[in-house]
Amino acid sequence: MNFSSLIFPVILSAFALYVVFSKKEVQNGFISGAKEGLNGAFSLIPTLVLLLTAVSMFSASGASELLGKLLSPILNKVGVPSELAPLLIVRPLSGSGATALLTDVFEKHGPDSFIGKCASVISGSSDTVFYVTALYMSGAGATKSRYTLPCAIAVMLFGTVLSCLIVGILG
Amino acid sequence: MALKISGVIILISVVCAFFTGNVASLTEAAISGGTRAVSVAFSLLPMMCLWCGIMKVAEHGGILNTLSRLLSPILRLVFPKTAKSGDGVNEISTSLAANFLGIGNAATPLALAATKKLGCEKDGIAGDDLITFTLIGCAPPCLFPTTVVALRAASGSTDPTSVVPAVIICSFALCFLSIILSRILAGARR
Repeated sequence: MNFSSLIFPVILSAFALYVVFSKKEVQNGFISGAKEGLNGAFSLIPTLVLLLTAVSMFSASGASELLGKLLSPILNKVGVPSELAPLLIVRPLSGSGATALLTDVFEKHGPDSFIGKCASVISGSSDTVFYVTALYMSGAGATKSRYTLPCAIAVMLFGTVLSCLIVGILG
Repeated sequence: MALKISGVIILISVVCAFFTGNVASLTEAAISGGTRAVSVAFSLLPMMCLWCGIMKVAEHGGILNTLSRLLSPILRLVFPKTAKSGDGVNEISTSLAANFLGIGNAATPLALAATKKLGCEKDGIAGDDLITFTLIGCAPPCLFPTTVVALRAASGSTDPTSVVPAVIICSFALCFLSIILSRILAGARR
């Protein structure tokens, strides 16, 4: 029995307690939220069809392996599995692309393998750096972002190494 | 962006398959690739529905407001200029609270509201607080990575939430690093 397998039951229990004892109307809230989740997953399909077609081709052609081999001298030195090379490249560029590649890693190596866990933590602790930077800067009306992008990329690279390090320590 | 990336990946694959002689398996992969997308999206459905439903109930129960109230004293230290004017701290803390809970859909519009409040200096130069906020947005602190857990469950993981502690440690460490970096660089400007 480990701590992490309790996370979801605890959250569900808190939810259940609230639902049972709350005097507010919660039924509609749950349904509307769940519908948002439904739409979210469904609206992924069109982009994901294209992306996973591309990703499948990338693996089948041997390009994925080649890229891994190409980057392995650097990645191995910092403790990052070279099988993650495609994910690392796409992660800062496209959220749905990263989802497609994460699925690919899970299918090839299993979600509970060291590689699968590293991919999970990398995906969970970073966002689409280039997209987020562009979105936030344009949201504020800023055209000169100064040191934002170099900093964000530095943090992302450090995060990649840190993710694999933490997975190695926690097991 | 996803379209451009797919294009680049397909081109590289075709060229590579030509050299490695994997053309037959390339064709097969191209045809079966789309099916995977549908099965992935369908296997994501139950977790996404459940989590988004729970979070909506929690939102109605005031969890975002409570979290954002808890966060705002800390945020006053991280965003000194914004705190002085008092305008925008609320937006920043709500959008971070949404990231905490892994509701990305809700987080994006909230983040945009925050960037509007933060604004920029003259000539479109990004201010220090906006940069700090953007850096945090690039590696947002997260208590529950919804999509990752859902994908793990869909891929047959024996313990989908096993990576949650690692994600929490890593994302908070990165958030801390982002704040320190941007504070140092903001100080160096003066």
